[in-house]
Amino acid sequence: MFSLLDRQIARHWRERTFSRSVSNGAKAARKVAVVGNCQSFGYAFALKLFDPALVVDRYPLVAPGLTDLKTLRAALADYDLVFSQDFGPLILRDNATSEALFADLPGVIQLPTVNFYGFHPDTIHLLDPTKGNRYILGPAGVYHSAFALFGHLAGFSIDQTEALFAHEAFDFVGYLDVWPSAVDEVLRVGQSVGMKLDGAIARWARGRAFMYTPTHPRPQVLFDVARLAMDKAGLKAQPLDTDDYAVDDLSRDYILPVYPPLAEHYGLRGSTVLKLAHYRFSKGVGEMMALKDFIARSFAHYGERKREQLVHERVDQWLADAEIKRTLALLSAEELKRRALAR
Amino acid sequence: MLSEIDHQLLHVWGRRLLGREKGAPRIAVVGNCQSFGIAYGMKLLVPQAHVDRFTIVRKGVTTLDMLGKTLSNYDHVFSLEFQPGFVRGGGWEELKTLLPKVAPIPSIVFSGFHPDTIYVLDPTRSGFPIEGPTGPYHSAIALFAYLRGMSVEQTVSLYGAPLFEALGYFDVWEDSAREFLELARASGLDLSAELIRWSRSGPFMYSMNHPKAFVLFDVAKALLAKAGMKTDPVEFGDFAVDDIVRGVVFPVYPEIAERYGHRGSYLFKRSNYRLARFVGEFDDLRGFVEGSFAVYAKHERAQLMTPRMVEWEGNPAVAKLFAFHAADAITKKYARA
Repeated sequence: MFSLLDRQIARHWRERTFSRSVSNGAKAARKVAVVGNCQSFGYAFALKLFDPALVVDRYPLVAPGLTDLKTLRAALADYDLVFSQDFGPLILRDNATSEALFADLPGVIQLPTVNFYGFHPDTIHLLDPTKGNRYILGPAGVYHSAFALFGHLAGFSIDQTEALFAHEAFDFVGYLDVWPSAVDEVLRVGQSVGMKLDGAIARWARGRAFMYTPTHPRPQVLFDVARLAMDKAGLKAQPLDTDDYAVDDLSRDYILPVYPPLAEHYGLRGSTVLKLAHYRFSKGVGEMMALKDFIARSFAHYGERKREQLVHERVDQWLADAEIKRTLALLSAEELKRRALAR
Repeated sequence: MLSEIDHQLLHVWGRRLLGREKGAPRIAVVGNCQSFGIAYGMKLLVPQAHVDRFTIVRKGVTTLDMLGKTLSNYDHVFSLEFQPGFVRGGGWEELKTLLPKVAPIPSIVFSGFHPDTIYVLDPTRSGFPIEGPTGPYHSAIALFAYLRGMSVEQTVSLYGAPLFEALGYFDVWEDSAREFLELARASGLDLSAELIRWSRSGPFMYSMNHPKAFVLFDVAKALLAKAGMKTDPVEFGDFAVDDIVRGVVFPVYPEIAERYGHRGSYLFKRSNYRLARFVGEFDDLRGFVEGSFAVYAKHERAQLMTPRMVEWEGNPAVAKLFAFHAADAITKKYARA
């Protein structure tokens, strides 16, 4: 099966062979490649938006494919400028990483991968150790809930687990204190590629959550980072109200809510509805899933797997600590009582 | 060739036969390109609902009877008014007779930000739209300049406050707002408070009939309230999915945007629905005018005579305005040099 990267490589060679370059003496447009994960569309779109004269191609690295480092490097050598995010093994056929690409292709301008857990501290990824650490896909794709996994493994009911999504339990496990470390992580990633993101993150934090999921930022984030990257590359970004052109690839994927206890803590509205991924607008409007349904579907999903497949450091730590387990059971019970009395 | 609505009907019937429908109440939204935003807004406001969307943008094989029969299975049906010709056997009026419970959706059309935009409907081909760099949306200034035989450079120089002022482009807001509110009122909605809120947020239209997603969400909310349905409190911005921005964005010219306290631009976004493949293309003003002229050059003059062109051609004062402002801009340019 060809990956999106394989297809882009094929497109590049086709276009190179049947040259789309200007041959009438006019000044040829600068060619720019953007290499990266699911955030790369936003970066590539932003570069094009801020300087429409650029020819921008995107090399998406989201799934394993047939392309190896040599092939990728050869394609990228045709560009005047290459922007790239970090990437690990398991994407290119020869398991080469971004480190090898950067060593092989000097002058690459690095783009940060903006991951931020400040709005979604309960969200975790599950990697199946019995299947080479492949992502386990649940009712919300790669996004799982630590509380749901804990509830399932601790033998909680769906209602008991849902009752953990309240202020006391969030406070107890430290979900209300994640903001500073989440910010630090973004700043660290920024610094690692030579970008100072302090001002930007303060701006993003005004108003609503600036992330759809811990790994999917809103367009504004990618626009701002792209401007900084253009600055580093010596490209001029035209001033523009980006809201007027905010094509957003990532909003078609999952949107996770900021759960009410955390939202209240941050002064936001919050929600318990998850938006499911939906890319085919002509086929329908997509589906939403209430928190209770998400927990129920997660339980059903985990029920079909063996215990050794369901491994997560944080959840395993909670399960191994009798005091944590007891406290979470108590907090859940208290919340259920509160709800019963409120009815 | 099957159209969008043919595919959607097949999809719905297939799902029904397989018993794969879930959610209540059952809501159907019938309309044009705006229908996704309204249907998505309804789904967000009533997440447990089953919401289907039926898009009427091209002629298909679906008959009004088939559509009526499909829609009769829904608890709530909302529809934009559509002309006969898209569905065999009639349009909105006939659908209303067939299905009295259908509630009207107002068409969101607002020219306040885009007074220069026109359609060029080819009279020699039964009004078939001629498409330019930004699809069916053309610039009246570019087309008139072309018809007057002006060069690209002359035409580009026309875009500015003096000509906009002379053409009355700064005076269209009131009429646009009034027409928009009248259309909404005809559908039983009072959107006056919403219009003020949208206006304060900036240009709320991508083109004169393509609203931003939050506008359609507010309309969905008003429609559900009118239907007496209970909705969940939700911050639309947190879940905003915008289908329409993948299409054309016709810029709000800076001189017009400034009047309303916004920035504006001359960046014309072409439509691109294949995000996995391309980032899309933009034109600056010169590129847009060049692209438009290239399209016009492939047509006979008679094909390009829109009502506004007929009106401007019939008024010698407009031709004088164009000639003066084009010459004046060039004088200023070389005087500066």
